[in-house]
Amino acid sequence: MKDLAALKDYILQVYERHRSNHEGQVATYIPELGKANPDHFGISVVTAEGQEFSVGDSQQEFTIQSICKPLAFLMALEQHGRETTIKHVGVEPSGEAFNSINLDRLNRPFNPMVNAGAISVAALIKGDSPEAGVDAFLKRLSLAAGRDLRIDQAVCASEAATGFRNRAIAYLLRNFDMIDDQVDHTLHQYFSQCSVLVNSRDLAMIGATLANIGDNPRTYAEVFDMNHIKDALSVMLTCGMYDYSGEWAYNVGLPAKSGVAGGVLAVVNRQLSIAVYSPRLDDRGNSVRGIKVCTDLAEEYGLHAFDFTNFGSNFIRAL
Amino acid sequence: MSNIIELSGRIDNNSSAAIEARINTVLDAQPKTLILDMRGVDFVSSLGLRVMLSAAKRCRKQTTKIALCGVLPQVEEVFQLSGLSAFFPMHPNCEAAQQALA
Repeated sequence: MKDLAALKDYILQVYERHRSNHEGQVATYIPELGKANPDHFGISVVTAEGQEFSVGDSQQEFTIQSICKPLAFLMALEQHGRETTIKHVGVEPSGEAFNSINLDRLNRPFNPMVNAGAISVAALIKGDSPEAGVDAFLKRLSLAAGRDLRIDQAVCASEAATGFRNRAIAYLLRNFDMIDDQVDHTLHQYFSQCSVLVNSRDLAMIGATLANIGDNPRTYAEVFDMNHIKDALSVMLTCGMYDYSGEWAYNVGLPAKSGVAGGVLAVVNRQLSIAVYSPRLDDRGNSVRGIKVCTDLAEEYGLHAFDFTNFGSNFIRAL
Repeated sequence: MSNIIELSGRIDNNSSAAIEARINTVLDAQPKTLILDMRGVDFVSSLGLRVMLSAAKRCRKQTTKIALCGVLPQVEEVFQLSGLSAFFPMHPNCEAAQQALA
């Protein structure tokens, strides 16, 4: 992008427009999440060339929650390849809530973006020990964010102590041989992945790394294998916003992922990433202001994949 | 002495795998430089671009300097429109590429 100035002005406008929107509720199903300040509101944008702009509470940390899921899926694809990974988790939208206990006709979780799928993925990348698995995940996200991230141990403990439903899902997956015997190790991996602390700027930098074919656009670190970026973005587009995913694809048309702590990450392939933090959620578990900000930016700048200003393939244009 | 790989024809679905193998064999020896002689290449498909970008990324990781030479205009346009020019320094001929990488 030649100049961020025009984009900056519009982001400020959007920020002011939605600042007074107090719709929605802070998630409380993990007790620690209920402690978040509902008024916090931060927006960050990072381009694939490394330009960046943030407004509001962009330094406020929160747990990444489900936004860890496409990143864990990417790591599973890198470690095990498409063929093996897909035996443990499908890529079909479920149309159901994030915590649904439902498997497909092959007894696989529907996709890596619902809890069941993410637990299956966590089993694939959990490493030789609980410490090694979590450390590898944290290191990778730190590399993408461009700074050392850490885990919120209080949230992680809170999830572990109250995550009975996720525990039930894990044992169901064990029953169908989707995950191995080390159920507690897998759940530790999953709860830890969800408890990584980020701010909106970190998320936008991680998104920009995806947009930039896997390389961090500021540090130039090679973070993710370019061959699987498309796989992760695809499931984000079709399954990333829980049971709002279809409407999201229809209205906004960008690969995205939300988390119940109030984060939303959207990616414009090869160009930029938008991250919003606002903890008040709608009844599907998506950040209310997060959706509004992304919708406004997509409309104003033609970010939707099928916007009339977008060409489907640059390659075809060169022929 | 630079490692020069001479490519020709189409880098596409039919030829990509063999070209990827050729490039990887050369890169396995961790050379300081790698020049892809593109004079005879008249078409690179999207899959071909992916193979070339993988090679460029591998070069960066192992600090092999990569360059292309003699890229035909229609092929250069594909690199440009795909936003991949930055990964591939281009030179009019192999001598210029060798000098630049020296």
